[in-house]
Amino acid sequence: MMLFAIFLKEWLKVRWVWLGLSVLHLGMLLYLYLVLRHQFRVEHSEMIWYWAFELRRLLYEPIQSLPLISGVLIAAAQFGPEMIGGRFRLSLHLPLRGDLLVWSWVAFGALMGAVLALLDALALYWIVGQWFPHEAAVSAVRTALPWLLGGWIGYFGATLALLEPAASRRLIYLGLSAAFLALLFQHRGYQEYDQVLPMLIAIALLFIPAVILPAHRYRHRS
Amino acid sequence: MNAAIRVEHLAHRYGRRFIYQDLSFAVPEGKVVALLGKNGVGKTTLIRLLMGFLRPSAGQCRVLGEPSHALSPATRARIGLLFEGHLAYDFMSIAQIERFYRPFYRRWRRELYYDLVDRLGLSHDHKIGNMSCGQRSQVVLGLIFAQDPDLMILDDYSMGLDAGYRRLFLDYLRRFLDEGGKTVFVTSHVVQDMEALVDEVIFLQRGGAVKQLPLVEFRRQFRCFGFRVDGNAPPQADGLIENVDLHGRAPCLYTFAEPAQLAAHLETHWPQVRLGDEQPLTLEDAFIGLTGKY
Amino acid sequence: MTARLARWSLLLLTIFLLAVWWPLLKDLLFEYRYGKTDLFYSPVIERFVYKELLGEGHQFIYRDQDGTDYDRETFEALIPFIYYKNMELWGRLPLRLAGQTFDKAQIQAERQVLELEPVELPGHAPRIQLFPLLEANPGRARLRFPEDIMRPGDRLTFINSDANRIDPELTRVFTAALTEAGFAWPVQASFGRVSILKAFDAGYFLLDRTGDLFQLRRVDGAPEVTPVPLPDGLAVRHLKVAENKRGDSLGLILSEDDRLFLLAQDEDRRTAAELIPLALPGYDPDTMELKILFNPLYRTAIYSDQREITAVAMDRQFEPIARYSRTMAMAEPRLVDRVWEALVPFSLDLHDPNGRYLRLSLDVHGPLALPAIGVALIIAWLLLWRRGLRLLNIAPSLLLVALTGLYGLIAVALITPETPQGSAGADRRLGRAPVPGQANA
Repeated sequence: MMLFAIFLKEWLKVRWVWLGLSVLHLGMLLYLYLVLRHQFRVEHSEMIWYWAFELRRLLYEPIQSLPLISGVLIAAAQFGPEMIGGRFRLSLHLPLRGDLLVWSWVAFGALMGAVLALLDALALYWIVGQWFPHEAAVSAVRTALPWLLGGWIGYFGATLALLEPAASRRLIYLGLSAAFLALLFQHRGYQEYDQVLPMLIAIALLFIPAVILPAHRYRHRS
Repeated sequence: MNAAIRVEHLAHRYGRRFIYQDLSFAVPEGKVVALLGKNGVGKTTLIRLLMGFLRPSAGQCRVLGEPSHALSPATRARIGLLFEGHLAYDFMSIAQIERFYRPFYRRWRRELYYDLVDRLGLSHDHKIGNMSCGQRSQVVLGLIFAQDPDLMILDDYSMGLDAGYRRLFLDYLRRFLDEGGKTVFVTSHVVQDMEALVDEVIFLQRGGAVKQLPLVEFRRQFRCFGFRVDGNAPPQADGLIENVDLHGRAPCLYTFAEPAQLAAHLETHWPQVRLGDEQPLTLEDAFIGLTGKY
Repeated sequence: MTARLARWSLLLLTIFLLAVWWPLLKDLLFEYRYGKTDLFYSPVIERFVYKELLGEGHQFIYRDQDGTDYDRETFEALIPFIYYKNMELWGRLPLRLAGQTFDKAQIQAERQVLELEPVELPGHAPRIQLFPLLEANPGRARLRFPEDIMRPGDRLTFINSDANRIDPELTRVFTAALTEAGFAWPVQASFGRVSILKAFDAGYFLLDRTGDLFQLRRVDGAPEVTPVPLPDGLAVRHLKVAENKRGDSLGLILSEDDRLFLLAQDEDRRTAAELIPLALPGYDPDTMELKILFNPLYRTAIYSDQREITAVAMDRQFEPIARYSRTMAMAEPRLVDRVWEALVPFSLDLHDPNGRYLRLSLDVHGPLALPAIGVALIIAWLLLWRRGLRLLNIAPSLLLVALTGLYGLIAVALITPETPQGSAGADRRLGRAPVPGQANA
């Protein structure tokens, strides 16, 4: 019941941003669809396949920063209102352990992001599959996985920075997140993260316990 | 006596500047206690410490028996907090905010919330962000009542309220307190409101000096006298004389002493002073008399 | 408790990011300009000669294996088959060498370069397993890509690229042809060169389940299968197809035990003939780039990792004549390399010089980093002590610094411990003792 109440509040905060993001995602995916359709109309299909398979050109790069933007905006929608006028204090006074509260918040935010990520992955598979064999569609999704992880990093980076009371520490969190993000966009072709991604995901999971620190510092400022 | 709030040897500072070094007082259970003090004496800091959003530099701050900055969830459920400016979730509607808070409190009294809020005549999906300060204060008070807390800490409830809503707030609060068993710790800028509400007052003065006494005692004992001075050496606060006010049209001095005691004191220490009549005091006059205008 | 867990998560995250960025930052700040050494076998003096960049700018040396230095023009004249255009310009063609004369046309006809880089090996780079099987007899000057792509698997599927749909007829015909030739399905690996900018098309080499190799070409639209005669016991790891005008080889075959063979070609049919073993001592295909230079007199195999370069000169029958190895100038660590390594105890390398996959490979710097760890420890201790923390509280942080050196120090400095007694912890800075009677330590 409490969890339901927490989720209700988070939904009220993020709903418009999330719906806006959904529209943005659908719009970008539609754009990708049209770009690919256009490509296949003006170029010979076998040439495009040659670019894609042999020259490793990523025809779906327009969506690469979409998850990152979404992660940051969801975090801003969730934690911006909590920080205005110190409303975070209202939540910290609830008869509930602070860490569980913050974890339920980020669980909700991550869930909202995951829905968008799932939409992206499925749509990418479907769109690429319209003009390419199945292998290429699978490859596109695998290539996009680090970008989806970028959404996770963006979300948690923004969350850390927003919950944190001290400006200097906020910069540190943003710096760490940017340093991590930069590692996720180093590709020169498809599927280059296949081997390293599990490790990066494991390290990105460290953000889950980490979000407790700024909340703790907010609560116990001295 | 059981204390709902007990502050002992509390020290707090920002950087190198100490707000107080050795502050002690207690708020007895079942009493309504007002914390009064001028701007900058650390009222807000003290409230933050009590609400648990600051850690004391030293000393203890116990609320319902637990350190204020490490309250267990069960104890937090027994404390109703009113944040400065009637802080609430602006993005929620009247119904949503009640639905949000309800599951967190076992003793939730929904009817108290709607009893208060329905008087506003607003629809239940009216957004809090679209309300006036006064309307929002009703919602916030309704939420605190519904929580049915044992202790209420009300930080500057009067902020932003006009006289009507202030009165309304007090009326509902008093009615709720009539049920008994509630402890209230309150701060306000509107001192005269306290007259009909509080049992005890705590005066917090610059540097952390504190004076706590029942309101009736304060009203009975604290006096103001007009005076004249032969020559140009007016008296000064000296322990018995609490304060001397030379800003008004007629100079006056404030004391807790009986008139006879004061007269003897003046005779010995300030012979140039000719004591005039005792002046009538409102609570606000008395407050200013004690704490000074500056 | 969870706050402590949170802080340690952030510390680990910080250290990880520092360890990954440390080498990236060095590359960014101190980019390595010196390339690999150019090593050749001189048909003129019958010795190895090399060209090497020694420092900043253009400090090239031109030297032979005995240490004799040359000026640039003399050096180029020592390898006239490489610089034959300069030789022509200087009026030194035709060449007279080993009692033979070589004019420009002869040199051009005999020149060829075969290359094999680690990144080309299977498993060193992702590759979508779809390949265009070109028409080998296009009936025109240029090759062109077909409108279908080949998917090797349990059968040989062809997918039409215009319709993005399987072509059942092509699939049936090509699968049947391979089956008829004795191909054991499924396809284990496929090797070919996806390009239309090549002399002709040798098709694809398909490895079957039993390890037999088949060459598949599309000739006038129909399949043509040629089994490749592999020596006994040879398990194919990789086949580098390199169609070329000279027409005596189709490419290189690498065995699972890292032996290299030249795949000779049947000159009339452009199909695979026998395998010619190449004796390349110390060659490691996973880390070394290999080049085989052909000229009218010799074949020279040159292979190098980031340190050593080796050249084996062979006669026209690939019999070794001479061999030479040297440590390249670029392998000499620069001061910045030494300092960079000594500052931190380890680093994580994201980029693999021998492959396209990103990875995180741990590079431990060893005892060289100990002094820096010691300094980091002292600074960390001072830093934490100034915050008024007792040894017991800072011991875990110090242990972290002891293990991770500068990384740990930076992490601990950025994500300082939360003082358990609130701001009273800062008392040492103010020269004041904390007020006794803390209830909440």
